[in-house]
Amino acid sequence: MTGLLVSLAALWVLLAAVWVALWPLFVARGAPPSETEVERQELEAEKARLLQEIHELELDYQTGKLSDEDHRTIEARLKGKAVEVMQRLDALSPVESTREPGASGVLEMPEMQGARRGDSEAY
Amino acid sequence: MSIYSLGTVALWVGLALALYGAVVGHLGGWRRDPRLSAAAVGAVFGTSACIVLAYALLTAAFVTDQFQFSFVATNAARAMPVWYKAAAVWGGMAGSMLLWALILSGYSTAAMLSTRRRFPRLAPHAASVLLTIMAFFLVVMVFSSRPFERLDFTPLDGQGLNPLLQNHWMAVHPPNLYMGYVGWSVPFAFAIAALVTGRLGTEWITAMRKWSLVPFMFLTIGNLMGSHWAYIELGWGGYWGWDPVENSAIMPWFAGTAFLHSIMIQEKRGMLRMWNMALIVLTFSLTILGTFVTRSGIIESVHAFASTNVGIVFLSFLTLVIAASVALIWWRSDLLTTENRLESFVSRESAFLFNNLLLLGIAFAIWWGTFFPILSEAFTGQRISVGPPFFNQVNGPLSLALLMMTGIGPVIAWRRASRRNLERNFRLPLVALLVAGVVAVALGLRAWYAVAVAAFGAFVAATVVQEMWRGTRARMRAKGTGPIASLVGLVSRNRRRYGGYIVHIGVLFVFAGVTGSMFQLEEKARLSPGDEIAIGRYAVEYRGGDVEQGPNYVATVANLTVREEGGTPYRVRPERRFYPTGEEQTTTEVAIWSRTFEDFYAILEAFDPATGASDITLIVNPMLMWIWIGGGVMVFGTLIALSTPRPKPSRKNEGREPAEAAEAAIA
Repeated sequence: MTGLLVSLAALWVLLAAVWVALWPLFVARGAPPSETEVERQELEAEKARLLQEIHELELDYQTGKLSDEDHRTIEARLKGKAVEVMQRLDALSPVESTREPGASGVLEMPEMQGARRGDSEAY
Repeated sequence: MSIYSLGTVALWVGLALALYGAVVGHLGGWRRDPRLSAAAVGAVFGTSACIVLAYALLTAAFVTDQFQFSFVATNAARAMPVWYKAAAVWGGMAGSMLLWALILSGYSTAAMLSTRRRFPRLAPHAASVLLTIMAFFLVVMVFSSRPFERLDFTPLDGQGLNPLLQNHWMAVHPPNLYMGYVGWSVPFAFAIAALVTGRLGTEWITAMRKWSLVPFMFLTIGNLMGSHWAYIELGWGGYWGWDPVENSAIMPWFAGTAFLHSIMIQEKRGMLRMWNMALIVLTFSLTILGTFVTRSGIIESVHAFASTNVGIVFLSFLTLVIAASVALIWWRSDLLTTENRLESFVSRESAFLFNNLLLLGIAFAIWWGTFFPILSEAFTGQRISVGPPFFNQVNGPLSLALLMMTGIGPVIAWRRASRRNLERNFRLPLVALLVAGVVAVALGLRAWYAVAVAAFGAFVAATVVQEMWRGTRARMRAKGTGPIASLVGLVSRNRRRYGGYIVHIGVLFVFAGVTGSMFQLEEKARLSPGDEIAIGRYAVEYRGGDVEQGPNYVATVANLTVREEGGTPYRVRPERRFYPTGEEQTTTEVAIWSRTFEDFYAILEAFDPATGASDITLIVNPMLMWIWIGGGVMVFGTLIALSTPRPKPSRKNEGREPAEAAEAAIA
């Protein structure tokens, strides 16, 4: 009896495995993410990376791994890039309805919260 | 049809789903078709379910003594404890392939759940690559090394697991090592996806940062567990013999560590794109090579427990992986050009590059020494083996240089180090280096490598302490908090960076342990009851031997009382165990009195019940404990780096003017 139940359970697992792999082919899904949507995701990722870069730049500077001149130059370059990325993000069309809830808007790195209040708290 | 026969069905269904998913994944990615892409991800889940089912059925067959299956009959016996029966699943070829596939299923499922929405362009192709790897292992299990193959008869008992593997470290070591090996499949799959899609910026690097740390951590654990097993089970007093299987496990660790460092340069400076691609392909290929060496029997090894004829299958797959990867890199070479160039040889970028070259130099030296017997046989007809002296002579100096770079890399300036930067960041570490070197010599150390490790180690420790202190001081000034709160806050907000520094401290401890163990003392003697022998600071009394019955073995045991100068006596009982089932093998169970700065290690070589005399080998291993402590610290540091939170979306700045929102975010 136990063997029969185990066999049935195993068969159900196999059927479920096949179903999970095949059902997306027969289910109508929304339109694929548009180029705008993908660009938004890329820009958001790039923005997060740049904000993290600025944060780490400050820490590098405070711990003596950057000269004053390099710090100024790189900071200006990174901030310029970040401003550009955010402007491009805001210029994109409104968030599409197919996106996951909460995936829109401006990315906020938890570790950047201090940075937003000023460089002195970036680390 | 018994329930276990469903195991074979599960493997077949899994193979079909993996092949189907591998095709629809690429198609979905190319056509940007969400249905096909979702089907590929579904195929990952479905194939994984089949593999989990097959693994569960095989484990059940082992635990319930289903000796009608050839694989169970060869690797299990009724007298084996249940724990070893479950572990015996990966004691042979077919089961270890199933374990590989099981772990890959887990990684693939987790990777798809985590990345399919965040990286919609990469995920379908990555799913396809992961399914191709799964399909390879399923092909091996379906056509060559069948875990559910039936015998024509049902034996009354099985042959039992190789006694050398009946050790709790060996029961947990292979899963950890495989977690390390297999984990590199995920970064490899995303690298291939990046090549296929031409999205070769920082996207795939960002996606794979944590997915590279996980296999690094498990390879570290797996290698240390393997070393510990060799130390307590093989009974020769050492933990690393430059055995081909050991070497195969450590090569991907070096290549993967190089990758972990060099992706930082791509993230920060946009450099080394092609190098990083080459490194991840190399790392993944080395994991397949490692499995090939372990399982093909092409090179003799004390660790090769499942030599079979699947070598050619692995070699073919390895060739396919390398050829396809190289072709893709060549195809995308225009997009892999570097944004920035190296501005100075005295810079962080240059230090990381040098660190990469050293890591790969060590990996190459190990590869050369491991495969030299095969190469020499191919070219001269004579099989020439290279032993530990080759590996030690080549890797010793390279490792010392690597230790030094462990200190230099984190504190040298980006782009170009000025004289001021060098003075500010290296003054204290260099003072520490000199003081430690002088103190080491003054304390009587004469071996140059030991003095170098002490001096370089102090340099590395000083750089880490200096980094932590400077960061803490800056935070104390900014937040007005005390030193402890500031240090905790600093590490908490910069986990990747400071987790990495903690890993460096762990590396330092491992160096200390390895160097200390080179000052090993050894004594061999034939002792009769009541005899005494001295080794180092220890006086050892032999109090006779015993014969004892274990659950599935008979053991001869030597009773020794060890007394350190002025200390209380300690009893150690080295054993030799005879396993009557299967190949009637005898194993050595050493006795170790392990302390913080020294291990006392006793081996029973032979026992004569007629006279009560025993042949005993005694070994004193200084500092060996620090290898295991260092490994623990490395794992702890990696866990801290892994705990870095993922960026979270926020609508905080919505409604602001773009420039205003941008300035607010970076002000």
